[in-house]
Amino acid sequence: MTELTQTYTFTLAVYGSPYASMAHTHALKFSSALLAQGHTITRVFFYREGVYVALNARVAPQDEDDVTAQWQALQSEYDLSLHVCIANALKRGIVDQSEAERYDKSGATIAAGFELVGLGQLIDGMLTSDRYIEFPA
Amino acid sequence: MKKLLCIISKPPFEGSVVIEQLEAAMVAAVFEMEVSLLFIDEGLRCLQPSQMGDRMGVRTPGKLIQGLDMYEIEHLYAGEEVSSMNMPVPTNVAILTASEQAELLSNQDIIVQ
Repeated sequence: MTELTQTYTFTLAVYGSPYASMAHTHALKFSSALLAQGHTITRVFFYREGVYVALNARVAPQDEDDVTAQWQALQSEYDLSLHVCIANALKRGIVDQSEAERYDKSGATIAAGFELVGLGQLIDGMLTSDRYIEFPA
Repeated sequence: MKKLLCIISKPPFEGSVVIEQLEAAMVAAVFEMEVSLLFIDEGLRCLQPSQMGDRMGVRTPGKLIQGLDMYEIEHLYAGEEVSSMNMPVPTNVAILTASEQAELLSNQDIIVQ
């Protein structure tokens, strides 16, 4: 692999559902390639149907890739920020402990390694990163 | 100031996609980005007046669009095919040919769909 002399910071946005699109698969492969080449991913932001990747009750079929586990592995290895739009998450049943208590739900449903944040984090990523790439549905 | 173009190509009541796009555009404007909206394809229906999402228990994109000037989002564009859709186009929306749309895209820092 060619070594780059210049590296960039990236913000990625994933809009597609884990099982109704290839958005996560493409974003994961792109992320792995970026990180392997020494670039920095400022944050990965999950929006619209893309937030379903952070639902901890999902069980991937045995013969398919588990994109949630793959994001978690990248997060663990590179200390990635996996940001989930809180407004989009709440209406799709993804809550952390704090939101579960606020809305009187039985418990947190967000997968480990993911974090609920406001939409401003996405815009901040656009403003402060060298590149913004989105993975639509 | 970074320039952001939001392309809206979905109809107003296909889930909450358009509402979520408009929310992102408004937050970007709050962060002092120069935000423009381009309506194309079925997204042109979002410019239709008298939308009544309340009758279906959902939010109305048309009402949010009418309030965009409060966020200083004043650059609204529509693809030229809107002229053949037999619907009125708000006076603050500029109609662009394909080449004008291409020029608009080339002048942006960030494009979101």
